[in-house]
Amino acid sequence: MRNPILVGERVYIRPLEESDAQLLADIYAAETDTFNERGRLPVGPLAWKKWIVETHKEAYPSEINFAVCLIENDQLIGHNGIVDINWINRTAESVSDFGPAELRSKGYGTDAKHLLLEYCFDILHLHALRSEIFEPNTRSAAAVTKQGYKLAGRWHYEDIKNGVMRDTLIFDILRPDWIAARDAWRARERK
Amino acid sequence: MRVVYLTGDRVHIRPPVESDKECAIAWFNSLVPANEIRAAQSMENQVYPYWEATEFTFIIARVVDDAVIGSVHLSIGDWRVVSVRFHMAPMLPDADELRAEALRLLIPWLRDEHEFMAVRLALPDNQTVTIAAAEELEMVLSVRLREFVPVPGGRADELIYEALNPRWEVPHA
Repeated sequence: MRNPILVGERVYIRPLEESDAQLLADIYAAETDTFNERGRLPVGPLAWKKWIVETHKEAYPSEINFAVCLIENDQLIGHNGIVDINWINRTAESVSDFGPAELRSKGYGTDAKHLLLEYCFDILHLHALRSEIFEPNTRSAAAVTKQGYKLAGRWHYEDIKNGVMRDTLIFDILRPDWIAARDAWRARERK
Repeated sequence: MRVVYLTGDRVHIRPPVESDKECAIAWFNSLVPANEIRAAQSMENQVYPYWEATEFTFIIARVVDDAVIGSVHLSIGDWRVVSVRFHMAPMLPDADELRAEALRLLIPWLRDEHEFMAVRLALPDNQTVTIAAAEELEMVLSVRLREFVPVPGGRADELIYEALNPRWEVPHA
């Protein structure tokens, strides 16, 4: 494993490096799903590189992102992190993005999310997190529910999909929610 | 300076002026105290051509003496939805009532004149007078984020109220 911060069952998280930029661009270029946002947007390696460099400049940044890698072969399969960090209120928004498509729905995202939540609650000692999911993205809504998040409500009229205005679903999570979900997930994984 | 359509019985809402830097504690939304230099920089950073601006901070002042008592920040995505955040001067005994009056001025202006599809207001659940004003204005409670805001002695839920524009005929999935 390369420079791991936290290690899970099958994945680990590590800092993003400039050398990840091309891999992230490749994952985005191969995207098959169109429901996550209004539509797909190619993001090139130059943009990823700039983002990685910029988000590592501050000691107390407004966002922290991790590379998510498979333990078995160090393959980068996506990234997760927190944005809109409020260091005084001790809150943030969690985000995740995974690919390639054939590696989805295998539990890697949940494994990585529990590492992210461990980092947030037990290392940064954040108090609460939220997650914002565009309503058509039912897969992510189901995933965060399984990971312990609770539906907190919706922002109306966030964006257009198939000619109609759709909402963004807002979820929140506190440490006890995460502990309960992680323990249940571990018990299922180890059966 | 008075904006005729944003003036109520007790408060009025106006753009910042240079002398506001002298009372930044009343309107600058920061737990870290803002001195005149920081306040002036903040105002400088907001002076765009108005057609390019997407972030606005307006001053809330008292009608009777023009004293600065707070601010309201508007964050506009693409002129469909606007997010509103208030900051009131510390040690005001009637901050909740004054904020509620400012909300009564803002919502008709943003929802009915500018025709935003949604006007979002985030506030902790202990601001009961402002919450009552939001409900009088037919804003709906759209989100409750548990324990999201620190308040003296603990934490409060953060509520997001939305004023949804009835003029928009939205085919909704």
